[in-house]
Amino acid sequence: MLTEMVEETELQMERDASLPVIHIGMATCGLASGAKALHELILKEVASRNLAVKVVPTGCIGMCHNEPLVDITMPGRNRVSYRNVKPNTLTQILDAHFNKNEFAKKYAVCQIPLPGREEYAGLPLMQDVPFFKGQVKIVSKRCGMIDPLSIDDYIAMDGYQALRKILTSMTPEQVIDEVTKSGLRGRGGGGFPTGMKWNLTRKSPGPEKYVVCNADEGDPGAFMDRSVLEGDPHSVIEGMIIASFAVGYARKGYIYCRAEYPLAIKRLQKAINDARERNFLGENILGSNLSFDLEIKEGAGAYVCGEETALLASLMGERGMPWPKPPFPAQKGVWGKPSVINNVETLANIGHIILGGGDWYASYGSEKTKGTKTFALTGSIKNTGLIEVPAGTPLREIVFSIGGGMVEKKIPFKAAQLGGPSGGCIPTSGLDTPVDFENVLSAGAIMGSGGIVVMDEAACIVDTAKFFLKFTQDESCGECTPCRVGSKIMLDILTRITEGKGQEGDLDELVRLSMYIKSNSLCGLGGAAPNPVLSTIRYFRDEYEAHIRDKRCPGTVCNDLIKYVVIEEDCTTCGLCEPVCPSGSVTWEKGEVAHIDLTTCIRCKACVDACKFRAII
Amino acid sequence: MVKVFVNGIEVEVEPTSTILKAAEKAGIPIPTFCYHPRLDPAGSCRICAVELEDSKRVVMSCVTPVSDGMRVLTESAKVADARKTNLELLLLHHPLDCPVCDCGGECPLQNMSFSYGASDSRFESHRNDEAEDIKSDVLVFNSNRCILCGKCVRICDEVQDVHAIGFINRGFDTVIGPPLGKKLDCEFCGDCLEVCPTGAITDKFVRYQYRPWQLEKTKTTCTYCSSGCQMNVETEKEAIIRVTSAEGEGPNEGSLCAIGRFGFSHVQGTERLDKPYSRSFSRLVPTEWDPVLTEIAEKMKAIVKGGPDRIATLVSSRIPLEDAYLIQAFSRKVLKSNYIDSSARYGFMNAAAPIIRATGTIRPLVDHQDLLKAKVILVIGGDPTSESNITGLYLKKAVRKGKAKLYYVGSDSVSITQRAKDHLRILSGGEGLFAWVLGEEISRKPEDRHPEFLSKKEELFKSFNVDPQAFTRLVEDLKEAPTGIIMTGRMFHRIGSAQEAMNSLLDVVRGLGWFEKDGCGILPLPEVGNDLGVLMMGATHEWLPGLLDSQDAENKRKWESTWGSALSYGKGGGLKEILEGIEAGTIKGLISFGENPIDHFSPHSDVTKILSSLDLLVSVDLFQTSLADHAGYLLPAASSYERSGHVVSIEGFVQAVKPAMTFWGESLPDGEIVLRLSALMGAPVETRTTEDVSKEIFTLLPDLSPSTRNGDHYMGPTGNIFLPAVVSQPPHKANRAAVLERTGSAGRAQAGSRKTIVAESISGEGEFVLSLNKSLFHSGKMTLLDPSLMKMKSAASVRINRQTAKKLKIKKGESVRIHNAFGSCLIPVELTAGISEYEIQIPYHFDSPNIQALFSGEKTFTGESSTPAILRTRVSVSKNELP
Repeated sequence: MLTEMVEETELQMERDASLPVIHIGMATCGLASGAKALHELILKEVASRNLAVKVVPTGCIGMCHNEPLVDITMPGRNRVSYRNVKPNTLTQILDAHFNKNEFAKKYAVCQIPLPGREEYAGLPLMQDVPFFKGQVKIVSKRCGMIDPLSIDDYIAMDGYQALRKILTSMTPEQVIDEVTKSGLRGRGGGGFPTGMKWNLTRKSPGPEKYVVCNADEGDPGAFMDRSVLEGDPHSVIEGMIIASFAVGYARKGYIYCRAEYPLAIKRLQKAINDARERNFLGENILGSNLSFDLEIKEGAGAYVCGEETALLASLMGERGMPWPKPPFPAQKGVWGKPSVINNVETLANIGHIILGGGDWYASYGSEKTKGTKTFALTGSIKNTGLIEVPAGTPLREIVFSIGGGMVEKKIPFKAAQLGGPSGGCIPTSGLDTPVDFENVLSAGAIMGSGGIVVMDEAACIVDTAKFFLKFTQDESCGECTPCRVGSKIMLDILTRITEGKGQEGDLDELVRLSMYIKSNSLCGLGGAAPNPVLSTIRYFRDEYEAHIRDKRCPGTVCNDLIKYVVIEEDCTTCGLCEPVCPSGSVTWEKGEVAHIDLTTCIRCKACVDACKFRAII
Repeated sequence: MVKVFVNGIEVEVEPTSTILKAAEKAGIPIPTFCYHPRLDPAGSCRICAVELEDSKRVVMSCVTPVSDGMRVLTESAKVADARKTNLELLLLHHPLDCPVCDCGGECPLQNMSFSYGASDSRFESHRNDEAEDIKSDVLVFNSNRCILCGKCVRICDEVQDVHAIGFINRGFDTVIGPPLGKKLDCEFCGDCLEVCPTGAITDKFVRYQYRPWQLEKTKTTCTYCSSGCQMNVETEKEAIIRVTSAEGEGPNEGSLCAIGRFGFSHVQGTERLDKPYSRSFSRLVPTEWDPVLTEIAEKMKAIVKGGPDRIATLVSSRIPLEDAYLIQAFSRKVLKSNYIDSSARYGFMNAAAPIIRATGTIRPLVDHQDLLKAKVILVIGGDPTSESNITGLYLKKAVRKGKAKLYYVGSDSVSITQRAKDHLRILSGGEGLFAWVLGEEISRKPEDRHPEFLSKKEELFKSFNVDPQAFTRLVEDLKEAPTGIIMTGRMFHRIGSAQEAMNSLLDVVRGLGWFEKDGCGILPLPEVGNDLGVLMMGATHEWLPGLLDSQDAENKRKWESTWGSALSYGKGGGLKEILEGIEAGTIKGLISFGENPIDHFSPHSDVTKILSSLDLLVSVDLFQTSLADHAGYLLPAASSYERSGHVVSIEGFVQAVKPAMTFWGESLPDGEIVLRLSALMGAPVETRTTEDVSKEIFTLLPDLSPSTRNGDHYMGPTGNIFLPAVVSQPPHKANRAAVLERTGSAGRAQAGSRKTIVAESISGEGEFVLSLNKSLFHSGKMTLLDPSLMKMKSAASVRINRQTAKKLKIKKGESVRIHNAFGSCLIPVELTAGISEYEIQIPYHFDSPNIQALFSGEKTFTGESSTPAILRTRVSVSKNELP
């Protein structure tokens, strides 16, 4: 049945190959950069030029810094990617392709090689561009390449082949063996071996089991799961069907997705409907005796619901509060029945593992962390976006090769924050840390779900720690004392420090409280809440001390500690700083060095920005 | 069993045990805040931290299972540090207002602070200055004192299944209270108050009025309903301050209901009778015991001289066994009268009589523990939560935890309906027919069924709205279930055909072979605390003590030899015959112990006229009731909080009632009054103490020896933590072998009683059926005098279907006029989806407006047991406009 479907789809694709295709990145990142207007413009242009082309919206290919992205594939030629496409550049691009039969070199990023197609000369191939060079795309293989709304696109790129394989030629045990062999570990941050999790659920007694997908991605600065859901929703669905088969013919699955991802939910729902129509979901899937269906449950925006037991509570209509383990969800989960909970990225990996084999997957990665990991690269870095690298890739390569280094050339790298509010900062000295579960942990951070926020020297480390702690403190569910009250006290101390009211002994108190909260909290949220503070104290103790003892913020971020002064030798006495000061604190006479009155200064930084000679600090 | 070392002490525990329980077994105390033996572990307070010696890890002992060879340290430096820090965190916003806190003195936080020297927090103080939530009339929520252990929320969810309070906000701002800042609207069981460790939830009725250590505790049995709750009545200077429950004790295991926990104020109110009164020139004037009793004794002697069966006695079923025993002995021996009846007659008798006939005992075949094991439970016409609250809790637990399939048959929705697999929404009047059809269907082969079976079944489905598919599911589930229980309640017991219907249900039990099967049977809900006890004591005309037929010569002889005097009472009778006797002039005197027959008839009836024709009418009561208006003598009785004795619970436990304070004013227990009267009449009943009477009862009727349930957990050696226990099986249930012998083996249908049941037509005109139901917050009419319970339910209101109200353009809070040919009354509405569009309901307790005036003045008695029937009538409802 599936074979016919694939053949038909391939036939369709072949017919379509005679048409030029215009792909436009329309994930959240693209839409935020104006892809919607651009999409309409393309349709208009195509109509006015009377072109016979196919316009396909796609997910995110990872180059979020280059959005909106438009790809053009002429018949018989490779696919050319254009970045930051604006209405005026669009006409030039279309002219180049459709009128001159060449490409618009000025705006092109790279060409994506397609089998049997002719290369464009003078344009680097995708894999040769620094951003893609170190990357290995498995989970994000289809993201940005296919139309996420089209099940045919998915099927044409090996979609649902893994499902067919397990239904026709594998037993649940073999599936679990294969996943175990692959060494796949939970990509949500926990890093629990997926095969083992499935096996535990399988072994739990009772015929009624559930598969849950954790799509409650809440870390600030992390959007890996969103990209997968928006760019390749079927891969998650296929992973869940395979999981249902492996854990013992679970009949029902839930995707717990945060309501803040409306586009992901919309695309996911469409994908579920399409899959149901084609009998990939529903009764007797593809004629087998596996029956499985999916339902999306929208979260109400509580970060703690990313914790699996809190997620289950919320899923069942209760307040999202974690429960102590044991019982583990594999023993007692949804409606009290054994349930397997996997993260989006984990599930999206499954199809590839089944098709490629566990050994193939395990050939990537480091000793204890196999395969690849996607990261959301943000912060003061040139190439922000979504990347996928083999586990164990050194942080330096991620930041400087793939990420292209710092966005402001003059301001050097200070630290990379890994793992969001549960993670920590890795300083320059730790740049060679291979990014995998174990090594990042020993460096004081966690790999987490894959958020990397790069900070330059202009960032204040105390402020960063405060930011993350404020986040966890806000998001604490209030159940256990250490997290609820402890994080509040830590935040109070940090706030005091940033206000210049830090005292001797504050750091020791912070460390002591951190250790207490870490070892006494009920769930992972509390257990990891002090990490941002602990890791920054470990690497940047001097900066904390500067705040406490010298009442100085080296990053000039903490408002109460900033004392703007004019450096006499750098001042050119130009006077640009004087008129911009809203509080009249800058005094300047022609030919004289400006002076700032700190008693009236409101630290708005207008003078600093106005000074072209960096004479005010 | 696995071996665990706690501080080096070796202890053997079950592999499923937690470290906390292992330590308790070893006698090592671990402090807790959020632990509660009846709730799922939350692990939220983090005070019970212990260190694992091998891994040096700190874990929470309440949620960590033991493993073999585990070495645990409970007092290491790491643990002490963790606990101290935890306390400092909790004290961050806990005001140290212990001197004015109701919880001061029984507060674990106070004790812990003392132990660990953390009297204040080192951290910057966030004195949470949240105002108290004083919206509720019953409970006050103080979020500043709250340490968010969550026990209140969990007990409301897991035990009470009410879900009235929850966590609000997140993180540091989390507080506990009713949803959306509304006024607390719940069953007011007060379990949250009971489990709150810190005074965050306080009792609004007695706030700031006591110090816990100055209260004197008396463990006693609650006599309101027949759940048999064990409770602690706490008094100071002979006044009840509060009622608390002891965790794990009695059938209630530590839960109470609103009435039991808060309904004690009326017994120490100004309305309480404190002196005997006698009528002089048409007025009741205070007098002294000696002259009044002498006068009554003389009058009684004079009447008795005229022959047997001339003085009737009425008994409330709230009185203990001992008093009931003495009263019936007084009636039969001294007054030579078998005209004796108790309030068990008003409904429970309809269940009791057929069961006693069939099984020879009123002890139930099943108890609460069997409910937990039952796979299917059928409830007909009852609201267990309001009729026998703890039975209701077990029922809810049976469905939630035991996954029992619950079928509810009734015209309305009650709190358990939402937990039911099927709610068979039968129209009023069809209950008896339902039981009959079910009985025929299950107990007989198709060819043996009554010729009218099919037409009756059709009538049930067509005329009474019973869903045929749900009926089939019920029949299938009953047949397939390995264990099952049928429960019947007030709305079933009070219908006209209740006795016949109960026979049909006994047929069901017989047909299913449940008499032979442990854990299967019928569990009828008694209406009042000691319904079972007064019947067993012979306080009705049918039976002598021990449920022996009162007219049987041999039984009579047996008691004659025991009591050492000849019994020359006549045939006697119950309330119906008593009223007939008075009317006919054969009965000259009536003495009522806490009973008021007037309440059970319409004001249009001639009951008051009949009663005022008596030569002698004595009302022994706590209060002046409408009966007193016609009585020559009004004698003050002691309440259940003041006297001693035993009562029999729904499960058959015989539990002690103990005096928590001295007799109110000059009041005396009913038994004492009877003893004094009989002494004055020539002492045929010798003067004895209650203990002597108890001893006599327990010797003569050994199966009535005191028994109670130990919970499934008991307090461990350190006095902190409960350890699991095997639930005891005291001899409280019916002896199955004896029952079987009497009922015969399964399938042997009792021939002869093959009448059909006629579906009841409800009299009167009008488009609605008005039913009188029981309120969750009142018990009889007495509690209308209780100021606390009146705060929860202060006036009658009519439950009316939402859609009906919409049609009639009636809005929430408005009053409607309910009227029929007999009367009319104005009453506020309570809109609900839980009642059909053909029915309305009013709680029966309230006198005002006079709801009973809507019933016909004819004295109707139903069934073989002659139960006075004021349950349903037809009425019209209109907007508040004069008709």
